[in-house]
Amino acid sequence: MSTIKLETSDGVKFTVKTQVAKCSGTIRTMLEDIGINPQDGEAIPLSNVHSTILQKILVWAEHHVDDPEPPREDADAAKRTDDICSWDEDFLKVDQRTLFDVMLAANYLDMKQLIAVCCKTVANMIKGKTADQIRRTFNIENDFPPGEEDKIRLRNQFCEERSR
Amino acid sequence: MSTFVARRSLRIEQLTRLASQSDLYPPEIWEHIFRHLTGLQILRTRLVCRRWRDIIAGCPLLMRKLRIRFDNRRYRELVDDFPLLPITEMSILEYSVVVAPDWWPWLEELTLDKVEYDHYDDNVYTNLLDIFEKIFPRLKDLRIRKIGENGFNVERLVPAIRALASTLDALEMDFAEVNVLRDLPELTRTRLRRISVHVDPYFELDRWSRFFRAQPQLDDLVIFTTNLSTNLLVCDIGRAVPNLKRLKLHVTNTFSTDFLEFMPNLEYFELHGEVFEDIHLYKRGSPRLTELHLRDVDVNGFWPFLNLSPLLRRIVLHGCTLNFQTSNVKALRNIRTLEIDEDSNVPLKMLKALLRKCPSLEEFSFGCAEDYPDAVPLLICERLKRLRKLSLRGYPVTNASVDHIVQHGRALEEVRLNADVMSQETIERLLANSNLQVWLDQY
Repeated sequence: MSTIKLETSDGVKFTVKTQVAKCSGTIRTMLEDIGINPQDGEAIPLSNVHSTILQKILVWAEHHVDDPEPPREDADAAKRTDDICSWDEDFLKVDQRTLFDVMLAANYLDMKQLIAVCCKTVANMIKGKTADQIRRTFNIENDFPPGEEDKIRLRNQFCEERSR
Repeated sequence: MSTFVARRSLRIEQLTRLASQSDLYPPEIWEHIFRHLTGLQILRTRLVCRRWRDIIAGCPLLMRKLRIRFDNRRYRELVDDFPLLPITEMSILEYSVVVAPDWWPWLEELTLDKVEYDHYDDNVYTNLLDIFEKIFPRLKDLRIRKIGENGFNVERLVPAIRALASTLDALEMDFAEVNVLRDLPELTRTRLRRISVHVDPYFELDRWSRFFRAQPQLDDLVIFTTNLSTNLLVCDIGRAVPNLKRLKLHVTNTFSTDFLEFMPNLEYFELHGEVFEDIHLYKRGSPRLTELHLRDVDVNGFWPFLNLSPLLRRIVLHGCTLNFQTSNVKALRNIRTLEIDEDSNVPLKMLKALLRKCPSLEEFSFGCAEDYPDAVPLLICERLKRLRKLSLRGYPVTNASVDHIVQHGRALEEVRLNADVMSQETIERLLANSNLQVWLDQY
């Protein structure tokens, strides 16, 4: 089975099955379109990804390597967040910092399914909470000038869920 | 030692605080996340901080989950300089537009329902209709309901619609206002994909035919009419717009649907009568039709129509009379859904024929309250092996019938039954069945 080498931002080298590495659209493009030849033994540099995060992502990719290609989504369609498989749910039981780092790395590596499952996890942390509870969850400071929040609340009253 | 530990944990806390601040992550990531929220959750999320508010307002995909609604109930709360979100759909309901609104370049869908325009002084107020194309430069879908009654300046409506010709592709006018109806057919430069319109009164066949001939892109049409010559108009429309996919007609007279001959691409057909109008379904059927809805009509020519409409999957009859008609048609294997409501009238003989001819039914809803002893459940068990959803709400279902349904309906997922004469034991047994979603009505 063919393997390739990846090098993270902190200089750690990983030897990875090519098939697993190709879960990343970015790496796939490098191999297939740009024609980087992994046989040279040269490591592909991933300058935006730290080794601890890449390690985690490779665990995910290994588990999902045989997943079928997901259907193309309609951008306007309502997105579900209750369809996270239990393996992914356990996988993402990490601190917020790691969760976001995984998501950013997945974004850089172009791994749509992983991005989606991270986004759903964060969306579930937002759902059902008041603005104040959301702030506490994500440690966000309320930086509105006095009165502004009430103004937004008033304008929100003129908005409603679109049915289509 | 203890000081060291305390200090260290403080540092970790500071670090995590810094790290979890949302500013560290690019807006695309947040957009991605917010796209998984519903419209109402998005509104709440806007209240969190300035950055989130701006990310949300700057993302058209998120704005598409919302619409703006002004109605009389909230009129007094409206602030004058209402800075609107770039939302693409707005409805204004029972509202007086006193001051012409600002420029809304993003608005694509607008509903005006019982809107008045108070122009006490023409020197001060600009007429909303005169500046329509300036304030809504991208308007695609305009729905106007009942405005002629409230002093809205109807004469200016047609010019306003004409001015939107380059963007408008859907127009709905659910009212009969003489001036507009006279002028609307003159809109021959507007190319519409969807039209919903009353063509009464003062219906002039020639002008309307000319109007429809200028609408080759039309694929969705709703017409309300009481006029006898509508049949001719609809034939003309069919000839002019061969790609029509959806047609909904409201008629108040005996009606023949022979115009379907000219609409070979129709997929959805809905016909509303007023009180049991006799209608004749086109004897050659409709080759691409998948859905047929009939409301308040006496149906004639049912079998031949079904027989020659091979793609038909769904039939809905509300308030319809379906007299027994002999059928020598083959089995209609594509029909998956049959819905007959409590105001319809279908004799048992006809129902038997229907269930025999539609062996692939997956959803069957039957509301007729006539006395069909246990015949219907028995027929269903005998014939419909693929039935997934069953609704029998019109008359009480006996214990024996319930057992039949549960035993034979192997594919059943959902039942809705009238439980008036069921024993408590039967009800409990039904509810205990874990394969089945059960709804029971008691009257």
